Amino acid sequence: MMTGEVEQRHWFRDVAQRGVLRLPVAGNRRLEQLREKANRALDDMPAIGRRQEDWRYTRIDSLLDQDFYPDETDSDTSFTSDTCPVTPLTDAWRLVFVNGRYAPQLSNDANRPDGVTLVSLAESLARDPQQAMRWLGSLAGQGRHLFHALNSAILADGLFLHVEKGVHLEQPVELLCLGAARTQATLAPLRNLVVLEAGAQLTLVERFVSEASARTFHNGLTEIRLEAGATLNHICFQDVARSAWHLDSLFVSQDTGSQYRGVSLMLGGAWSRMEYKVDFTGEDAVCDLAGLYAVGRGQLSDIHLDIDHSLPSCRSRSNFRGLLYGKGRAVFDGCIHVGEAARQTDAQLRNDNLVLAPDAEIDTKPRLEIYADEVKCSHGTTVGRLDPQQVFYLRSRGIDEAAARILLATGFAAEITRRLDDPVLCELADSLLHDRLAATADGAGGA
Amino acid sequence: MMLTVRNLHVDVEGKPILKGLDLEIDAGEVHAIMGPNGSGKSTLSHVLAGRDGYDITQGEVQYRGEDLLALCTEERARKGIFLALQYPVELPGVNNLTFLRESLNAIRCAHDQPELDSAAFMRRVKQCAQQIGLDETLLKRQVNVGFSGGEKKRNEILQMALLEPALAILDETDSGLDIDAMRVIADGVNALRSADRAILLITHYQRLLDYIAPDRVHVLVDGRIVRSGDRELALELEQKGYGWLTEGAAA
Ligand SMILES: Nc1ncnc2c1ncn2[C@@H]1O[C@H](COP(=O)(O)OP(=O)(O)OP(=O)(O)O)[C@@H](O)[C@H]1O
Ligand SMILES: [Mg+2]
Repeated sequence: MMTGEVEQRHWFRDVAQRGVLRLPVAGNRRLEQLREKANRALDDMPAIGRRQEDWRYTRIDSLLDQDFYPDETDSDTSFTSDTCPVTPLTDAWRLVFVNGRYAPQLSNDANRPDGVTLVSLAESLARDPQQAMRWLGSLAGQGRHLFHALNSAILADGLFLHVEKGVHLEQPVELLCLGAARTQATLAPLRNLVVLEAGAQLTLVERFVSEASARTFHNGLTEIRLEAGATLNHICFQDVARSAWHLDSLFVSQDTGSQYRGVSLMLGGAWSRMEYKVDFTGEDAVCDLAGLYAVGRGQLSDIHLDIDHSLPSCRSRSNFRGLLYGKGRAVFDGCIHVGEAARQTDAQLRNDNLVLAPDAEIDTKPRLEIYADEVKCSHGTTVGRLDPQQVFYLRSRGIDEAAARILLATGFAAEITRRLDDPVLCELADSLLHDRLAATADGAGGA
Repeated sequence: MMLTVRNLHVDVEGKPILKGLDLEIDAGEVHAIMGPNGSGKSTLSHVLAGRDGYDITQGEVQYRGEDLLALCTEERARKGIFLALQYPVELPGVNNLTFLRESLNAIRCAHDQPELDSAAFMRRVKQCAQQIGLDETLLKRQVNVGFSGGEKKRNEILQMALLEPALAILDETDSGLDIDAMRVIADGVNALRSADRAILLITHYQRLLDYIAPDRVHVLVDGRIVRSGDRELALELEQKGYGWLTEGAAA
């Protein structure tokens, strides 16, 4: 059993309360209603506990032990482009948030083509109270658990990206979320809304980094709506400090013939959870998810997929790989539901894990629930160690054992990292993995 | 002496495989080992390269005056031992060029030579690839993954050409090769021949020895060298098989 239910509810109410105090006055009826509803959900939703399937292996006690406060620092002064802990992508439009607060001085939305709205959500709501409200909450609804309710209860800012019918953006949009170290543990809420109208195309790169000692809790929720024939390439690259907590929930809705291609890298964080909820609202849509999680000492990586095939002829691919290189844990919980009407569904789910540390733990649980005929569905999971033959082969070519392990482990990860499809990000991923593995290689993964 | 193996006894999973093997190879020489399936040829090659899982119960191996068995696998490679595997291993996700560069630099580093920069490295690799007729697209692929049997063998020879070992052991590198490929590989081996190198060929076929003339031919049966001779011995084996030797050994 986790932290007592009463304490848990208090924790959520307290964190929400502190957040609410800092909210700008909305003057927006629909937004206020949305927040109020979420506030009620904080009272009504069941507490998070191990009886729930998607929390069975996830303990959040260490998070609930902290009191989180909204960031009160003047965000304009917290980072400059010189002190930014990450090199932004060149040639990208960019919105930057520091501890969940918009940082215009680091952002770049100049020279956007016509038909593209790229603003901070707060700015959009101030400018046109109705535009974003058309979609906000339409995919996430009440959310699935208390963290979602918390997100909505203090919903204020995030990325708002809207691309009009048929517009193709060559240049990617980058959403940079920086965690800054403060004296108190800091809540960084973020609420994103991405709407691609029919036939629109875009690459969105989300990056999460933090200062080394940041004790931030990123509670992000993103609603992504792809209308007919729209294509979104969505990269999430998370490398926050080991002292930080990271929850990222994606709600994706795909209309006829749309394509969602997600590549996620989860490298940092004490607790790093990603949730995907994918729904199809039209036929012939394609959802292609790939992810890599790397787990070192004291880390918990926590992946949950919920792909709901309710209509015919959609395709989904889920390919997640885990690299457990230190005494940490990973949870992979992948659920694919194929409803009665979803004939000709083509769904594949894979989860492969490479365990380098003797005391790492992995719980992998693919679930296929199939209620339709004429479907092509498969799933498979593996948990393996390095193949001694491969290690020998490398050593017989003069490469020492530690370097051999790193080569093989990054090779294992390459199945996912090469899908980043961007030389800068690929190289960054490789070098980050390399550093982590090298730091633990001597102690055979014990560190 | 480049390599001296004396009275080598090796068990695998409690079962004796090598049962008192003796072998001497001098610098500048090419030796061939032939012998029936399961007689211990690959076992010998693995033990020389330092693979785990072999229990050396008796005997000794000297390599250039040093106790070879005291060295770990990568030390042996850095000191010039190279084994072209009978079954080259696939390394999913590992780029062939990365693999080649790491190997070459590890070995150069051990000899206090500077790492090659990427332009110089590329020139070297391409030159070697050309020499042994390896399709350059294979350089960009994952090591041995999806390579044909012959391509895997060529990739082994590419590594040999690149790393320029002092003692190259080729375990059935000719098996499964077409005639042209065998020629190319023989050329690669011959190019490596020099007064300060030695080569040990493990093969089932006389044909390779037409291209690479060995100084000595040994026959390994049931964990022992039962006969050694010159090239003529290989021709004799081709005609008569191994039966006459095993009978002789039994008698
Ligand atoms: N890991 C192992 N476990 C059990 N037996 C083994 C193992 N490795 C080798 N052997 C046995 O050792 C013996 C020698 O094998 P080895 O591979 O050295 O033969 P070889 O002479 O190379 O044969 P071939 O000509 O078929 O390649 C065989 O009987 C083989 O089955
Ligand atoms: Mg063999």
